[in-house]
Amino acid sequence: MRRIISIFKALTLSSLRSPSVIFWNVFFPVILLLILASIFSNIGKEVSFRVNFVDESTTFKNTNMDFASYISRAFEEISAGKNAVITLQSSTTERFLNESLKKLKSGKIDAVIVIPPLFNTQIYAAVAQQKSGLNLFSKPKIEVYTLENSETSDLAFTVISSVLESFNLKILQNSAPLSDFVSPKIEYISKNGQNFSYIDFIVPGILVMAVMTVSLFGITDDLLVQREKKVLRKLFVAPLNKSEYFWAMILSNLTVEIVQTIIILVLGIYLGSHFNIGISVLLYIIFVMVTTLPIGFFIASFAKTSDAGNALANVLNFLFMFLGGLFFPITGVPLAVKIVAYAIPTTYLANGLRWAMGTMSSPTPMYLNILVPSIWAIVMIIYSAKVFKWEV
Amino acid sequence: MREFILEVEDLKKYYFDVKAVDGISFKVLKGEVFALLGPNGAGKTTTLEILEGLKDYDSGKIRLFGEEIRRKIPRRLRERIGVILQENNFVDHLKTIEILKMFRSLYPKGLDIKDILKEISLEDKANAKVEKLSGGQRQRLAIGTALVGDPELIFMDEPTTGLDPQARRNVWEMIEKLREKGKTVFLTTHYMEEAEYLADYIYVMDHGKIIAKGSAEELISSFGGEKIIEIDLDSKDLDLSFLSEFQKTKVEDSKIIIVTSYLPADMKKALDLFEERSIKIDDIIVRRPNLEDVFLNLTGRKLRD
Repeated sequence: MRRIISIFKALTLSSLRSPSVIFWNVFFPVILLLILASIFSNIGKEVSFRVNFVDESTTFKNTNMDFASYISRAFEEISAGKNAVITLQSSTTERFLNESLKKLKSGKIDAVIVIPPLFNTQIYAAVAQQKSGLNLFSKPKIEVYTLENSETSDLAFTVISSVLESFNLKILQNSAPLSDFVSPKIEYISKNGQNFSYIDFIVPGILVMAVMTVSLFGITDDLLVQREKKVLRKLFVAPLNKSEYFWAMILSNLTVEIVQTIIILVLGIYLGSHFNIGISVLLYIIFVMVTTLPIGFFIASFAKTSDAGNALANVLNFLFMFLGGLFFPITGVPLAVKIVAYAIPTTYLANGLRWAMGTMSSPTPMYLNILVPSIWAIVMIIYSAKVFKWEV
Repeated sequence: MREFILEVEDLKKYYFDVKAVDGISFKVLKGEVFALLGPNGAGKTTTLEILEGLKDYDSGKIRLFGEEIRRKIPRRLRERIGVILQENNFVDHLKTIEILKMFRSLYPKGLDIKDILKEISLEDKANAKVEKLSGGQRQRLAIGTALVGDPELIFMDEPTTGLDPQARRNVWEMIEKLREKGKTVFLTTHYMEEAEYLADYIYVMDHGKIIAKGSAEELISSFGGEKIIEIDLDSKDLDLSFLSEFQKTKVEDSKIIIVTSYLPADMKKALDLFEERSIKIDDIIVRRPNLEDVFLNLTGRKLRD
């Protein structure tokens, strides 16, 4: 034990004094976190538009042909709830219209929707016209006022038009009964409004990346580089056993990983991520450390030289980093990429850690988040135990 | 009766058809400086690495501290041995004193770090990072790490190779001090002057075999009363076939070495032969043989060939 602690101290001290170790394992994750957080911090932020809805329609009121009221109800549903995309005020008066336009000009609201007086009639005519193939009446129109050169106003318009688009589709192309078209689209819209925060997504991703980097490069350095430099040989002719060096090396890498973890979590809190720090998070972070270290052993066993080891560590690190969905969700990729993404451990480690931190639901079941990285670790340990040679 | 600290019997190590170590036997007396002298590739380092537990061997017997060992050397024996490898590297970014402390902690007993720093003259470099040390300082640190556990037996593989003359002197002095303290030193070298200066007993090794043994004095006196005539010529590539009139000669570039047991006659003969052929002699020395000549005499090659 005395010997393990002494070697552990030496290795850790050496790591913490090494500029390249500190840069790649501490500064790099921190810088990456800051950059990604600042670029993408708008994604999923609670965006809310203030929209006034003016229903001027007068025909077919209080009948089942009152299309204007369906639209009004749709927007009301969108604007209901805590995390709604739209804050809606609606009225039917002309005074309200004038007030709304004034507010829009002064930037107090982002858009005004106006349903014209003959809207319901026009719709009715349009549906009938489409069925008969005649082209007699003008198309129904909804006016949406937005503010020029205002980003939020433009975004509001995009949301509004996508809602209205769904009406267009339903009414003009399907001519389906009006009663059942509203709800599905509304559901879609409100899903977008879920409280997704990029910082909550990226903090666990950066943490997995940082820990993995130490596991991959730290072990490669402690085994391959030190073997090549004949440092190991010097130690093993002294009264040190290989198992003692092995455990000292594990402890040393874990220490660097713990330092990283603390720095990244503190920075994450500072950047506004709200995550649980409980026993499940700590256990899962330890799980990430324990299951990535064997990948380092694999590299040290598979590669014959430290150069080859470093190259392999780089390749695996990149693969695990980008296909593991650590920085961006893996969506809309070709099937082959998706298969790789679901084969590598980091996908599960990131999902599991996000789940454990309580910031996000895991797209993969939790048992897989434990199982897949464990299988990787076990296979790598078995391989390394068979293949690795100290060869001092 | 004096105690043998290390006994090796018929040790063999073959790499396919290369006989790196081909059945060597020797014994090392406690408190002696013992040198394995031979050219590069003679099998010295392989022998030493087997004794240090770094390499397997094919057959033979090794007794270390009276205990027969096989393949691995148990820790309790390693605790009594200090090793200086041919190439000594340390974990980066550590200070001299930290490296010594680390090695000290591997041994159950040992010397005070301050004493060791003084002994290897690195007191003023105690807080210097290891990568900032010069070659000689690194070698002294390597010796320090080998001595910090106060070992009884110290293995040194080519301890002065690559060092400048001053640094080599320092290492020699350290080895002298170890002998004074009653330590046993087993070193390999291809410098005959090193073996001659340091070793109590020398084994000359070539092609995996031991070809001569004894103290430097004994090895040299194996020449009997022979003397060496060393002649430097002005030019090389001359027809020197006439040298076959002497019993033992060796030509190297423009230098001729003649081994003689009857100096006056051979000297005259040599001068006459050169005179007849009008070959200009640059320099001529008569000296007693050294270990280099012993090796030359035994193998027909020079040590550093």
